[in-house]
Parts: sequence; structure tokens; C-alpha cells
Amino acid sequence: MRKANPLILTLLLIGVVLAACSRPIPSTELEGTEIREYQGEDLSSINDFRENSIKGPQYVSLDEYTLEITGLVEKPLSLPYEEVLDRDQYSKVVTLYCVEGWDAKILWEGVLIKDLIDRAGAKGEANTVIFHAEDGYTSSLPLDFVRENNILLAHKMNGVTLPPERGFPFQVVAESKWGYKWVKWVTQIELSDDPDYKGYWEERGYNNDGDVEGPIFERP
Amino acid sequence: MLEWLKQRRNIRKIGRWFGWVALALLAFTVLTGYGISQFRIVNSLTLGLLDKVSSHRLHHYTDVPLVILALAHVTIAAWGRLGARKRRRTCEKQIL
Repeated sequence: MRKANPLILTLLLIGVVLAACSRPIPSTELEGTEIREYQGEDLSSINDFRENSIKGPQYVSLDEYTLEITGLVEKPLSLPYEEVLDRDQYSKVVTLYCVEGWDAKILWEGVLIKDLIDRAGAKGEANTVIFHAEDGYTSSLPLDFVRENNILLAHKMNGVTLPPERGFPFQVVAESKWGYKWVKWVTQIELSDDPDYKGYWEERGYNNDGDVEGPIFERP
Repeated sequence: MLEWLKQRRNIRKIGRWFGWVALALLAFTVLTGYGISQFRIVNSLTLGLLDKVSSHRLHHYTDVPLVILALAHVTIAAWGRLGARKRRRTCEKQIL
């Protein structure tokens, strides 16, 4: 076997090094892997959910997306995705119970809705938070409930960004409430003084309180 | 009425009717079940008659009657079969 020329080898090595240095190394954030266990607790998969939205999955473009905070607030806000995330992040394991009979225990990560509301400044008469979704779906929660229970507006589940089918960019984590209170594809948070406001399913007969421990239907 | 009920054949007839009603109720339960989970499809197939919430309510109301009817049907059918077997044995003994 012929011996390799050391001069050629050195030149080749210098060439490779120079080529590598001349090009900027692309920094691509890879999507994380789904977490299935958290602090000793088994978690459901993000694929354990059933598709039961009113108009099918919504594909929200971040180029056009803003989260509106409107209604009875001192200063209505229109926040782009990055600006919504630009505040303290919280995470907690919460189980979603669907009226259909299935459930999913997930590690949710997001921002506190009360932080967003406080930034807009809730007026004194506001007592209800109405969530509007991209597909026209709405549901509501009492303002005190949102404040006292540190209700999250999640952007991640089990460590990965919400997929479009699961509510990207944001989903309400309405813990201890039936799944129809967990609004996906949130585009607007409206503060209202109407405690009897009925969202999409509530208007059709599901209980407006939506407590998991309470009745499913508004009337027996 | 009581005389009519005393006839074994008539009771078996009732049992058969229970079976048919249970079968229809089972089909209805499946339909309302789909009306909960596949509400978009069922709502359009039933021309808006069954939406998710009404399906859910009806689904709740059908399970107990379905179980009662199915049990009644099975019980009457089993009682009829056992009675028929007993009668056949008695006849065989008499022939022998």
C-alpha cells in the first residue's frame, strides 16, 4: 500500500477546517421528546386525546396571530405569541376529564391567565372570563376561579409545543372542570360582567359550572 | 289477560318482543354513542335532530331499560328452553 503524502493530507485538513469556519453553523431548535413520566407519575400521551372540536383542528399561523385581551379591562391588549410567552412560566400535572368518558393526565406548561389579565387591568365589575377560539368556539370561567386556582394558558404539553390538533398556540387548562371548558386555539380573552354567559356547549345544554364533581347537564 | 299469560307460548312471545325492543334500543344506544363522540357526522346524518348534548342525554336514559329488557329476554328464553326440555324428558319416559 502506498504511503499517503503528508503535505496533501495537511492541505486537505486545512481546507476542511476553513470550509467549516467560513459557513455559519445553523442553530436549529429541535422539537423535544414527549415526557411520559413526571416526578414518579405516569403521564398520558398527547396522542391519547380524541378529536372532538366543533370544526376540526385549526392551523393557526403565528405570522398573523395575536392574543387579544378585551372587554372590561383598563387597557385592551393585543399580544403576539412571543410576547405572551415573555412572562413567568409555570407547569403542573392536570388531568382533563371529557364528558365523553375518557381522560388524559398531562404535564402542562404555560403562563398564568391572571398575569395576562392583570397586565390589561381588570375593571372592578368584571367577574367572568370568556375564552374565544379560532374556530368560533367559546366558553367561560369565573374570574375568581381563574385567579384562585392559578389557571394556566398552556403552550406546551408533556414538554413539547402544543400540536395544532391539541390547540396550538394556546389551550386553557381549566383544572377540575369538564373538557368543554378547556378552550383550544385561544385567540381572545374577554372580561365580562355576565356570570351567566353561556359558551358553545353550555348554550346547548351542558352545565355552565362545568365542575367535574357536579352534573354534566344544565337541567336534569 | 291472566289466562292469556298462563299459556307458556304467550310468555315466550313476550320474551321475543322484549328481544326485538332490546335490539332496537341497542341500535339506538350505539347511534347516540356515536352522536357523542362523532357528533359532527351524526348531526348531519340525522339532519340536525341529534346533536352532541341531546345524544348524550338519550344515551344516559337508554342504558338501564336496555339492560332490563335484555335480561328479561334472556330469562324468558332460558325458562322456555328448560321447560321444553323437561316436557321432552317426561314424554320420553312415558313412551318408554
